[in-house]
Amino acid sequence: MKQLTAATRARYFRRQLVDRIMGGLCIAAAGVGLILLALILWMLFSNGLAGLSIDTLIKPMSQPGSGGGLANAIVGSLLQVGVGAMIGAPLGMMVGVYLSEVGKESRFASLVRFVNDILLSAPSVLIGLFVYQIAVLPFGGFSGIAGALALALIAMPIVARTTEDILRLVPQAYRDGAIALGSRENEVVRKVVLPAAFGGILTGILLAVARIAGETAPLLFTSLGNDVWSTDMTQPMASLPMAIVRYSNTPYPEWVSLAWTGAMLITVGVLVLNIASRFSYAAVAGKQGS
Amino acid sequence: MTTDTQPPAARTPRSTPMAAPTVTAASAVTAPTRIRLDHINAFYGQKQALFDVNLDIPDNTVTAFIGASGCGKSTLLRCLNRMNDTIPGARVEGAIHMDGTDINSPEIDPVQVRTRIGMVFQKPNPFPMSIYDNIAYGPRAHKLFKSKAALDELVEKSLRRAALWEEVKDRLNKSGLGLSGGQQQRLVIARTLAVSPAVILMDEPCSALDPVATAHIEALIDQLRQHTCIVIVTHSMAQAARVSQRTAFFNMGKLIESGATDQIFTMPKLDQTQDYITGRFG
Repeated sequence: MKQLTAATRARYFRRQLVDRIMGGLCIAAAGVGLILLALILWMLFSNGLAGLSIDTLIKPMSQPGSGGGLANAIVGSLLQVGVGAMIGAPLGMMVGVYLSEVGKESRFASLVRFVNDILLSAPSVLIGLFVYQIAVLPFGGFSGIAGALALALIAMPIVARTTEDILRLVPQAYRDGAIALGSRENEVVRKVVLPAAFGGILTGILLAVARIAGETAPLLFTSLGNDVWSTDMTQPMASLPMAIVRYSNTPYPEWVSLAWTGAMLITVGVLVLNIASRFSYAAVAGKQGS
Repeated sequence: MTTDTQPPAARTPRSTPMAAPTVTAASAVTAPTRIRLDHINAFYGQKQALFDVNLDIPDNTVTAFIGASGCGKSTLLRCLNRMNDTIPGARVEGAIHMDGTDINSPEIDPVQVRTRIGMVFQKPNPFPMSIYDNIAYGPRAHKLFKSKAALDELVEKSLRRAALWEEVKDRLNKSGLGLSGGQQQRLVIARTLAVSPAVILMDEPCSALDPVATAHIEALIDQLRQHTCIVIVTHSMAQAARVSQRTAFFNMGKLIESGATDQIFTMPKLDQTQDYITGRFG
């Protein structure tokens, strides 16, 4: 190597030093995140596993000391999240398709996109209050349907956003190819664009489901919660997040333990959904050969 | 059509005197005209991309559009199957006569035009689905078959015509994206053939392919012209000389000269054409 001047060498070492410091800061930041996640999971499992038994899964909530479980809350959550996703996901997909394939850069599409972004970041408690106004007060009471509706309103903008993003990633060449074969716009979308983006859209839906599964605030004003077994969606309905709120603030160790178990169940469910969404994407992408 | 017995159009000697600077010679070709372009002007927003193009495109012939990038040759190609309709702000004036109709008229449904006029793009664009489903796409969309067996037959016939059958017959259910670039391009040609178009437009179909795959496609183009009218846009002079019988040279949105490929390449009437062909351009 040629002899470096003192100034060049100083600059070289300074750049090397800055590079190391920056790299170290990035790793530290990632480490903090990972450690926090590990601590949360550790806390959840160490406290939650104690309350986990077959009874927890099959028995509904009951008085402290009488061996109650969380079955009604689990089923209530599944019902409300399921119905919420069934309403919110198709609506969101349609909005996403409109934004990406029909409206594109038009004025109205820009407006829809803007409104969707606002909805996306709206505090979930506001959505709960809104549904309280339109679906609880007029029908004379809290209900599982209202809860599902609130969750649908949270899921819809998420699905709309991811659907649009994914559809925009579908190469224009696919659309041109289908148009050149004499397909109409709706056929191009249904037969070529949507199937090509299926994996990505499914991922978006699963992530939206994961998000609404843990929502508490929107259920507070809508399905309220229910201490007894009920699958009637026109009546107040239990859910895991509401059960956690209710049980964690009590003096009964048994209930507190159940609250931990409920938190663990939600977390595990969300974790499974996240992992499933990754696999579903990889599986579809693999099948298409891309 | 008995084109097999006809002498190749390009070899017909030419001695027609030049009538105007923009020549729209059709005399050299014995095949009947398939498409007649009548005063075509094309615009993208305010910008005019084509200026008063008049051209006869004969049947059972390969017509090459040549010219520098931005000369309007691709725009003209996309006029023929109304693909410009899909571009916001694009506007095409003039008449495009085919089979007694003006296919550029607003009353004509562009979707109908595109079932008669197929298109092959610069980059192979098989759909992300199986080889079989790729070919079956058009027939399914237009309900061109009566039974599953008939569709199977149509898929096989199309792949055979595109000289791809032998290579893919054992993996029809595998993704079309798993094929090589040259195979993908033949796949999309087969996909186009499956709807039996009267005209096939090719927009630089070999520019993303290696020389071997290019040779395959060129041989295929020569076979296909027995039954169809083919228009090809190409940046390769050599390719235009190899595959086409007619050549049209464009510059700055204007059709400068058109005629039999032999004549354009050996004794062009205009210096401008001569300069482009010999590489002394600009």
